[in-house]
Amino acid sequence: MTDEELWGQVRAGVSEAFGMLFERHAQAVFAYCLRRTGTWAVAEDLVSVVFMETWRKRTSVTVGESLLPWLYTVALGVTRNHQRARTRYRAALGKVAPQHADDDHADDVARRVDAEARTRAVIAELEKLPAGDREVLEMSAWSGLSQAQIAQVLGIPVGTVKSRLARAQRTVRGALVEEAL
Amino acid sequence: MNITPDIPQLDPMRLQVRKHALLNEISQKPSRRWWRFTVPATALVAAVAVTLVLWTPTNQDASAAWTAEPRAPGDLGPVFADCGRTLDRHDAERGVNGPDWPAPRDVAVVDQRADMTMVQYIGPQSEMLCLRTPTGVGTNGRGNLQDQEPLGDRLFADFAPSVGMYDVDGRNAMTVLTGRVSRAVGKVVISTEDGLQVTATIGNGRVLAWWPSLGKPKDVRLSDETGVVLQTAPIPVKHR
Repeated sequence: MTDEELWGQVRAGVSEAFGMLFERHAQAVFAYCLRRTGTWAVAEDLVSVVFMETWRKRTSVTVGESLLPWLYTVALGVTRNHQRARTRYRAALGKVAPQHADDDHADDVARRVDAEARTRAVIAELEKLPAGDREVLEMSAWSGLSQAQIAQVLGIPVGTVKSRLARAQRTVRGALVEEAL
Repeated sequence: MNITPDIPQLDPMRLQVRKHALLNEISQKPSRRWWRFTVPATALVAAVAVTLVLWTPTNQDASAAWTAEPRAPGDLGPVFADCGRTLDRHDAERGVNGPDWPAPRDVAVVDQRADMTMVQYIGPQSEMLCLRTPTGVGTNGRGNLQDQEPLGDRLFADFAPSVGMYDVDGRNAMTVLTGRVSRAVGKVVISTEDGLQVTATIGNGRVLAWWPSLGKPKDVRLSDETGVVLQTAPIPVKHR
């Protein structure tokens, strides 16, 4: 069953169809949230927030082939809000020791810590970019959306997507971008 | 450095737990609210602040006096005062409890019909719509205006419902339309899917109208000041 067909059921209030869409896209949304936040537990929580918001707006959202562009739209807003809150509490959080592998499930914890370390290194690099350029580059590299879809998600013209992407590529020219794009 | 580091798969068990928690949550009966609103995705992305408690149960028939033609502006002093306070509050909470762009202060256009007055403010970075009724004031705004494509040779652009709302009993449904028009345009008439013909208010290249239903805008007829029709066109559907 396609996303469009499932969404039709979701709009009629069929929660099971929404569960199927969750199973289908949760991993993609999670990957985006983790790459944006760099924290596994936060990304998991944000996935739930993204889908809650998506459910809440089900009657006002029209879905084409895929629900993913809309999910990325919501995920962008949710992660932005998270970043704002994190900025506000950064001073307080700075006094707290970073969390490391002090859990009992060693393999799983190691896997998560590795993923977090990788994503945080990327985040640190991308934070050198202006916010607008950064969001275009991230969306282009991580979402698999076309430039037209990215324009729709970000609410900007396609021409702006192209120019921001080109500028971001110039700024982080070299291994960082050419490997990814 | 790879900009797309591998992300491990979520644990299937945890995924199922999350899914069931989500389904449990959404199966709960929503709390009773006297109003609901929708905003398009583009506005969501641009950071939206909406606070609408305009028509309460004490004013069940607020749309009864609605007219397809806007009313001539009356005393706007109280309207600007109320809207100004809302803009001040936006600036006071800017970046903390709301979006991080400054509230615009220049009035572009004012639309008055029935009990509601709408004021469209524009600024270099943002635009905000202030809606005022006898029972409340609400705003709906967006930033990133600097990224807006110039109108160029087009007669109109960005015609879209910017706010739609209705109360839980289905009464008092309303749709607000905003957009941009060329300075050559003197009159704008919107046709909606449910058969309404709504004359919009024009000012400083901006268009403003509302109607008492959730009927989507279908067509627009643009005329010049002398009544000569310049263009009749469908209003593009925005997929959200």
